[in-house]
Amino acid sequence: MNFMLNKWVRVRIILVGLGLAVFFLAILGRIVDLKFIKGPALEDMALREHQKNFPVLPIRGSILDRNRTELAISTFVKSLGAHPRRIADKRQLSRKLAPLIGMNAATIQEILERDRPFVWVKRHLTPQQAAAVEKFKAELEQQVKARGKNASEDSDALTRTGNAFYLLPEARRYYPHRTLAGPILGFCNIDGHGAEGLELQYDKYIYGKPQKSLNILDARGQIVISSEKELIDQTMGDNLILSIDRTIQYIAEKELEQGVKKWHAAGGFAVVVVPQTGEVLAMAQMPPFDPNHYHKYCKDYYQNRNVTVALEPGSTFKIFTVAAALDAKTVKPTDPYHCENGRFSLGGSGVINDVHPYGSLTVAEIIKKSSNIGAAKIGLKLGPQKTEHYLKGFGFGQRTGINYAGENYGLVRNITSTRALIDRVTVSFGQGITTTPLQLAMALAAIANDGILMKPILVKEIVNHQGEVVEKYEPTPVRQVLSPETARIMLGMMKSVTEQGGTGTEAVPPGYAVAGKTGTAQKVVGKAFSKSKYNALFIGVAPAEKPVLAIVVVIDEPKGAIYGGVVAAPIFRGIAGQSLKFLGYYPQLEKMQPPETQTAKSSKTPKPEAALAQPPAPVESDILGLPLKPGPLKQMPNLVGLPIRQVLAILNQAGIRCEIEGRGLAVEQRPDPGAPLPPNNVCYVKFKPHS
Amino acid sequence: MPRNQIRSVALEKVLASDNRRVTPVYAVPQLGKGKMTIFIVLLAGMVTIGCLIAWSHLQFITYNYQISQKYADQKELHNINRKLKVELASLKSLPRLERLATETYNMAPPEPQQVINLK
Repeated sequence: MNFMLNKWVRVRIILVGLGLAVFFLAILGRIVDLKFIKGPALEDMALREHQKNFPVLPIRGSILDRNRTELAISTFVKSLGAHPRRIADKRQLSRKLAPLIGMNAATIQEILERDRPFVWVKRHLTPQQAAAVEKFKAELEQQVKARGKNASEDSDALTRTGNAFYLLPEARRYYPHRTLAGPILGFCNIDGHGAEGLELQYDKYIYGKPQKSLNILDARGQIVISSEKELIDQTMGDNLILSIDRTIQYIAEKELEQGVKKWHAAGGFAVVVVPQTGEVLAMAQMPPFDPNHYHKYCKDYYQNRNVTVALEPGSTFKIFTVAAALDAKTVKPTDPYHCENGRFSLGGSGVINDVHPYGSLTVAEIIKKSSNIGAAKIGLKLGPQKTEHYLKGFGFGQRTGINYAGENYGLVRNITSTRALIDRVTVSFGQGITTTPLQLAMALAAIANDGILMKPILVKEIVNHQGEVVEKYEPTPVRQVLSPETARIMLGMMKSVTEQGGTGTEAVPPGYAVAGKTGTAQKVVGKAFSKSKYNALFIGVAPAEKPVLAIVVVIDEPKGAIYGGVVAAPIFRGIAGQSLKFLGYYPQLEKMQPPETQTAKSSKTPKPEAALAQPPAPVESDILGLPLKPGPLKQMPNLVGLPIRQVLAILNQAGIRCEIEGRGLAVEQRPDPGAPLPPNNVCYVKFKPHS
Repeated sequence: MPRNQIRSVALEKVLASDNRRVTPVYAVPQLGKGKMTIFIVLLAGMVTIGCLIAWSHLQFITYNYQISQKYADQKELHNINRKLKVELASLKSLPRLERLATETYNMAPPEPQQVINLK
């Protein structure tokens, strides 16, 4: 069908077409106007509405011990912030907030009265406090809704007040072991930056980097698209893995605390080092410091004084004088020295005294008896140049390189140019020289490490949040101070100190041999040596034959006794004995007899080393003292009614492994009593509690 | 007279004068059936594509909401995990364990002869 149109219809069609064309042109023009002319400005406006930069808070990395146990860890908590200028009734708000956040209403009001755009009301709220504030805010919003449009002024004021304070997430540092290794770790300030200790020293690694993520929001302000996830790698701080072992640190702190309490001392230090690697396993100090509450302590408490404080080493220093003289071949261990019956005059320069008067002593006996006069004579024979050379070799008067802020150099006089003879001589027995406990431990470790001085390691690794190693600190030898032969001879001499007749017999844990040296140093008060204040020291390595630990113990101003062998040696014994057991070096039973018996026995034994190599004596009785049948078992014993420990002892002696179920006393066993031993040497025992 | 006829007459009177000559008629271009089908199919296709685009955009936004929500949940779980780590470390602290062992369970360090080294 053909439709025929007349001219008028055509005109009308054209008119309508023109009208439509104009209409669409207008729309097109508007599009061009919106898109290309006003477009950029409108786009900016839209972006401002929908896209917002949100701060991405950095998460501080953890500090872990050598077994990856957390010593310091961060988590997010809420802090209460406010815009004081937006709050209508500050007094009323303060009164309402006070019980919720555990603060005085007047204090809150004082904060809210400040003429600032933003204030922190309280930071680091507890979860309960944060929940209470959130609930209060929700109640305010409900009140606003309930009042509706009628009470416009009131509801407006409430709305503004409700929006004027809010909770913000903030990272907070926790030290879950409280005082354990507190001075080593240091602490963070309230803004999460390291302020002391390792927290400060490695802040650039641990802190992470604050970032801003670009988020696209909807009309309600909810995040539609966020770029935060892509920023995680940058915001997460690295983790520090220390050489510290938390168990050995705990042992050191516990023993030190007991010693300090026992002797009513002003404080104390203990350092435990692995001689072969220079790894610091523990650095304890008293009084303790809890970094969770750092604001309660003064600077002396939170500094790691094992590194920052230098003190006189006293007689412990004699081992370094003698080691230097032996290494320089100035003396031999058997060379005799006359110890002047306890009083040695240096002419007009001064007098040196011994605690006990001695006649002729060999070099080894000078160490064993701790003769100042003997050590002074050895020092004089060694000469100032060689003495200075070896002191530098042991690292005295220099930083150890532990990478810890505020490390003390210690004080070593230039003895080559010192005029007074007494000043040169007293260095030989540890007077007129100061060292940090760490320097002393590292020098001691050099003797136990075949004469090689190692750089101390406190931080073993820095790893990122994915566990990838960022930096690794390997054991680094500094220099060979002594020949291995000299080091071995020195260990032998130091071992004699802890044997019968030596000054350090109290330092030996049962079942182990210890090589060490006692020391008692007068403290310097003002410009003179105090006659009532002393430092008691014991430094030693254990086991003496093949040292695995080098330990320094210092007790500051003990009362009742002052000698290192009485005050510090028992603390050394506690630390060494427990630490060695923890590390898997078990006591040898033949060494567990009383010292008198041991000495008598050792005189008959040509080679004590050979005796040490013998296996431990077999267990002849069970733990509870009940006699067991000697020889291997042929049939299953009756285990019913016995506790787990006793059952294990019996079966262990028979070479039978046991599957245990429950706890308490044995109530059931397979195979039954009297039955032949199981072919696979595995039996089953069920236990039930006494009740 | 029917109502619509009156209206058409009135319109004619308004738009065209009485002495106007009827001009020759022109043929209106007509779409064929095939072309019309193609046109309808194209139109339907465009509408479908438009709907698909709108649907995909909606899905995009929905998934983004879900991702944001899940990410917020993940962050919260990470934070809970950190808090639990703090709590676990506090519970496993050695002074506490030692106190529990000695005071609550009356335990004591073993004597050397009581230790059996199993290796």
